[in-house]
Amino acid sequence: MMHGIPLSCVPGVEWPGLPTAAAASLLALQWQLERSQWWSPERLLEHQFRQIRALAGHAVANVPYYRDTLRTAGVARAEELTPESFRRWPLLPKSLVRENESRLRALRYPREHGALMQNYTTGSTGTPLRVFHTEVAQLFAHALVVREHLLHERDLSAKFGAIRFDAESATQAGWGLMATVFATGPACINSTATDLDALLDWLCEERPAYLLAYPTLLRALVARSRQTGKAPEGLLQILSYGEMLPADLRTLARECWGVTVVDSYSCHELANVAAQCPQHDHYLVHAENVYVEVLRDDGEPCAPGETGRVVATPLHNFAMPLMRYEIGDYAEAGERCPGGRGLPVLNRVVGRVRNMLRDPEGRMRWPRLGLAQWSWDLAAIRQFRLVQHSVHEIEALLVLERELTESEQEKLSAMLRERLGYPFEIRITRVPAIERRRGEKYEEFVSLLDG
Amino acid sequence: MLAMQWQLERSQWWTPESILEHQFRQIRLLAAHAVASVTWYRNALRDTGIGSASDLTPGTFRRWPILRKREVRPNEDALRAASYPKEHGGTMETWTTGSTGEPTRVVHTQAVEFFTHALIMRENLWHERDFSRRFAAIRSMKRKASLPGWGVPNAMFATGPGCVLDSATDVDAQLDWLVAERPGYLVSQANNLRALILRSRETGQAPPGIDQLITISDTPASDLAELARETWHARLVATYSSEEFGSIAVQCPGHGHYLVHAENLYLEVLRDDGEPCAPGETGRVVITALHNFVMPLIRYEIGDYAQLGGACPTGRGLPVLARVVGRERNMARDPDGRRFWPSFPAKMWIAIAPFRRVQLVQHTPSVIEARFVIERELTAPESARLVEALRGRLGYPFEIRLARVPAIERAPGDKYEEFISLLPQDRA
Repeated sequence: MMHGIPLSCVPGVEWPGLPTAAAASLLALQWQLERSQWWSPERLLEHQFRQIRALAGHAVANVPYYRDTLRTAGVARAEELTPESFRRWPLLPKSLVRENESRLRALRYPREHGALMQNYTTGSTGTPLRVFHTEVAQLFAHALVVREHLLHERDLSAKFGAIRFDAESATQAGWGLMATVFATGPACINSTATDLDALLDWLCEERPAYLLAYPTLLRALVARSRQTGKAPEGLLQILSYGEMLPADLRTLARECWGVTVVDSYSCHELANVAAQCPQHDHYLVHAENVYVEVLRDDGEPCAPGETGRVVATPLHNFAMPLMRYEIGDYAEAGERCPGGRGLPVLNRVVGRVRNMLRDPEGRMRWPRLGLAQWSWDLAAIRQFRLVQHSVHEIEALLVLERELTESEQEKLSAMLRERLGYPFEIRITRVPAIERRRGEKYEEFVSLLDG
Repeated sequence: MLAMQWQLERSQWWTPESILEHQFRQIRLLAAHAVASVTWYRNALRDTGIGSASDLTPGTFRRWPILRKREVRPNEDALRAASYPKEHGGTMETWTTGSTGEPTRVVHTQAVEFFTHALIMRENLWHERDFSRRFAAIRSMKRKASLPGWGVPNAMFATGPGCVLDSATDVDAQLDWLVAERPGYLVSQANNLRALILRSRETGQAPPGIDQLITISDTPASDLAELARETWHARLVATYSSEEFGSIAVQCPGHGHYLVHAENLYLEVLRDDGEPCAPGETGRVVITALHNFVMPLIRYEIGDYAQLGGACPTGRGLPVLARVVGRERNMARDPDGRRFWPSFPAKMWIAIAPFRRVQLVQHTPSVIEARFVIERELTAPESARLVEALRGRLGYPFEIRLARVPAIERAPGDKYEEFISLLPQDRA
């Protein structure tokens, strides 16, 4: 990374920079985050629980939904909460948030937390969910965006490209939030709704050093680039977010464009949950802002290597505390990061709870499709999604450049059965587009089975 | 403040070349301002032989005229900027006799004060001080006090309490006070610390639990670190500072040498011919304050000598001073056997008469000679006030002999001492 000197608001003082109050708050948090990431897991946990106790005390006193929660958890006072007793605090699934929105809002919160703000998310089920938070919670969210850039030592003077949902195509003087703190290079923005070839042209013309986009879109872009031979120059790194990272995207990006993929794990309700480690493919949880549990079906914490439900408690939202919120994702818990950081590790985020593949023999798992590979063999496929309608039947929704031949359809069905590990009945449906609503994580496998 | 620490923690690891490059970005801005707004510097660029401040480099900057300490006082107005950007905040002033004994007023801004505080904070963080402990300061012109916090660090962190004592206090009374206060850290003049430790060895009275002894304003004697370790099991942390610049350099967390705060000042160590010293060589210290836009001190000769060091083995890119050369300042002793660290703030001299320099020499336990440089004779009332003021500061009715001298000489490489004792010295 270039030196990343904060912009100075005092004429004549260029170095060290004397930043604005807002930028100074972000940097002051970086100072803390850069230290706390190296704390031992025990020390991090201790500080998380200091914060959880403060949050829980506030929630029980000021949030109707939590009025009786301590009693339910069998704890007399919030100050006595420990990681163990906190596991008796009832889980908060997304459906309950929707049903109890007003009861989850604090009747009051300290005015120092600033103004009330809100986020809407439709989520993968398409039903809107509204989450309120404060300026303080937003400050932390922004600080984690800055942390992620700094963690990966990006050259702030380079050009940044982003393909966002619903965005207008635009060129900006700076990198958005980062440009409020540092002098940055320019940024170019495009929309996910743009045609793939037009996006590729745009990338080749703009030549950003970094490209931020959804993984599925990135994979489609790389695949298209391979087909057409048209590849962007000067790209250093791909930043993916908002969806499960397809297992093969890292390999494809390296092979086709010679770039690395840096993924992050986030959701609309909680902002950034974890960032990819700068030295490894695993994720480091932003433990200073969110307490993440990975739980077995029996509610006990997973051991490293085990996969379980992700339950998150954002530590600083006093306007609408989400205590032990079930995001709906599953993740694999990791060992301590060999880089020495004490932040909790997630080896991978595997998918939505409800989107597990189930076969007639009762086996359940998340399919690892790695379909980019065959989408090259079947070059006509632009985008796809598999939908399980019954334990026997899988529908392949395909966005195609042309109709598939019969032999191609047979080849595709055979490959799918092989990948899915069961001779499902495969139904192929050509669709004009696979829509995604704002805030929805694109998934290549969706289950419509109950439970 | 933490945002500044975030920067300082990064920049300390930059390469020396990168640090120098950034220093010169700042020097060019400062020089352009100085040439445009400060009468004293109006012709400095021409004297340097370059067309524009934006062309300044470490090479051309060496032709920028040196500003001598004695030039500051008579040219105070010419050194003040006619205007400076309002974002630098209000002005503040410090007075110093400094190590060369010339009373000088330096004006700076709130922006400069902010950097000064940031460097105090850096020192605390470098030496990993436990903010929950008690911090003690024995300094000149300080009233005995108990404080709720540590001062500057308390603006950012919850800290333990602080306590302050005047360094003119009798050494035994200082020791009693330390034993009662039980601080984790103690800051004081190196010679005062040394006297305290030596006295502690004599009496067996030792303050428990002091983790670090921090020296200010004078250069620690070579045996002080060992004395501190042996007698009080404390680590010595030497700092190099001045009233004009605040903290200049601080002992490296891993070594005995000093790391210069290059983000706030550009420090040159020069041979007699004006060329930069090589590592290992001792020369004059010349400092440029990078952020003082109200009274820019550009290539200011502070009057100290220092030995330039090689690269810091920890990997930090900050410039290294192997040591700051300066003679130990001596302790005063009165006929009752009370020993103390005398200090004479510049304001005291200036309130009496327009002294240029003052130096006190103790010849016997009851006789002190006050040598001074002044452009005219002292009047009788001024002489009486001087004697009275000195006795008041010294806390004993010494026989004071006044001696007007044409100059107070010092040998090259000697740090000026405003008090010299000719009494036989204690030895450890």
